[in-house]
Amino acid sequence: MMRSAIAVAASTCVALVLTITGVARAETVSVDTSSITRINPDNSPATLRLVEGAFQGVGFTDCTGNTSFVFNVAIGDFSSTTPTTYDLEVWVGTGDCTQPDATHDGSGSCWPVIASMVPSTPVPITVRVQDLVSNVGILPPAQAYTAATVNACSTAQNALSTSSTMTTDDAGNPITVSGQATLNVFFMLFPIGGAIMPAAASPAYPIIVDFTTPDPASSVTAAPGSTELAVSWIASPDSDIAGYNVYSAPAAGAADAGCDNVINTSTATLTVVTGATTTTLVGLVNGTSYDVAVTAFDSFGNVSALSNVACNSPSAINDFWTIYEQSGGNASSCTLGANGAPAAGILAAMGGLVFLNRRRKSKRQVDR
Amino acid sequence: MPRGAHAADSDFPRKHESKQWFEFELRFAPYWPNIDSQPGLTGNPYHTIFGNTARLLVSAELDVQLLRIPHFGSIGPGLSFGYTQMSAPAPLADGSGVSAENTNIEVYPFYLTAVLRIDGLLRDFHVPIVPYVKLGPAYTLWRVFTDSGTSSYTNPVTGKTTTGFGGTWGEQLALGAQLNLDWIDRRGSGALDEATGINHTYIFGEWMFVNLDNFGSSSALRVGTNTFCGGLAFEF
Repeated sequence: MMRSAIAVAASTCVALVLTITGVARAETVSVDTSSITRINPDNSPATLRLVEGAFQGVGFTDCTGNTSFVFNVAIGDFSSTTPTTYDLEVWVGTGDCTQPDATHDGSGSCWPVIASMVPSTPVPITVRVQDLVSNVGILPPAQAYTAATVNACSTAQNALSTSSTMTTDDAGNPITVSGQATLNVFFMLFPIGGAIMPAAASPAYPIIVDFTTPDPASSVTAAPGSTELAVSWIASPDSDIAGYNVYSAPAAGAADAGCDNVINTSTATLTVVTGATTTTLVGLVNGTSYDVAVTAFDSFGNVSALSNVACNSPSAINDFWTIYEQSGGNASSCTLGANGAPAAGILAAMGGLVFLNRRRKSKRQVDR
Repeated sequence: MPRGAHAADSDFPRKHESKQWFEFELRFAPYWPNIDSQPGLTGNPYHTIFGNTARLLVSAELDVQLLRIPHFGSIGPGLSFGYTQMSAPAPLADGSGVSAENTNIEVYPFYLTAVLRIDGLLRDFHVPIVPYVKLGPAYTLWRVFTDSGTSSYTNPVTGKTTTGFGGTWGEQLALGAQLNLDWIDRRGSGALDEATGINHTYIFGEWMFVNLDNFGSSSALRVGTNTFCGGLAFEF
């Protein structure tokens, strides 16, 4: 229910204004939700995961890879006094971070991911995933910003996988999360001087965090064909599987020494399969043993453990044409037998029938 | 006698209907090619690979009812085109079993036929049965392929390479009968004619003899078949 309400808010969030009673201000804060991007630590583009329709999803590898979101934020009614009057801050939590007791009161349910920056507009704001999840599983969340490390990823993963009490709601009641958590990001202007209430805030921008490792695929088999292996497996029992990584590599050793049932996924050839539990690996070498294994991944990019390793060797086949020819087939398209002439006669007779009929019709029309 | 007119004073077939020149058939038939009947073959290569299971041959035919013979029927040419495919796991060359790779034959039959339809019974005596005979030359394109593409074979003795793609000529004969469906809903069939120009609708069954051997050649892939065929027909 809460997620639905947030979704409605997010879809109409451009230039919405939050009004807080008793605080006089003209500025507004908005986020361009259509231009959100993700980047890697080297600023190269990272995978933008849209899950459950239109939500941004964050998986465990997004966290360990230290990826970041880039939000394009605009401040309405920006004036020359805005930078001297307000701090621009970014807070995140499971509830409404615009509430008076959610942020700067020292015991709030939200935590800062951008502690303080001088407002300007428009302004791209980079938010690290590790900062986003830094207080998942920590109660109460820290109210002062400290740059999170990769350890935050494991801490959050443990919290999500153990159905732990992650944070509190707006009323201070504990919230227990299991599997996934929806984090709401707020871009807010706070009056300089230690105010605990924002003067203006963007609507909540929800991000779904799912660090749960899927169960692996099982019963992987690799059946031989000529220069190919037909790989099949039993699907992961998880309901949110988005696809499978199929790894294949020649068995160890310069000369083929048979199957060793060991595979190094970092050097193996990767084939990504979606919507199926079979694939055919082609372009292989007949007589060479190949190890094959599968991992499952969900829409958040979480990857399962490796399946069992199957092994087999592509092998030459005798297809129908080979067997037919070896049986003395020698089919030819060009050699006609002795009965060709009668057949040609039938064809000619049919042609003649059509011709005569056309002549008869033409003559009838002329006679008229 | 003008087309569409009827000798009998009855509403079945209808007195007034649109011009009728063509018949279109949707045809379905179980298909067993006669490949293993080729002279000189050792063993039964088709049966060995594909077994006895029939494949479904789907085809369409358009006949032109060119000449009408009063109180008897019509005669005219027809053209038929069909498709079917056979697939089965290919045996491993070392004899250790079957592979995961399929070997396949796809078949595209083309028939040019002279069609004699004896619909005088229907038109004059309201008997909703229309016997017919079809006869004509046939040509069938075929291709043998695997996941790697069209198959080929190099004879280890002669070094000659053959490719599993070609066509086979022959002749076809069909004997069948159509059951007119207009009697199920006579008003409906009249409305169908007015709305679409479809004069009559039939279901039919026929026995089809398709002999494809390049007219007696012993080196033709015999993809003809003798089989029952059924389907729906529309005259318009």
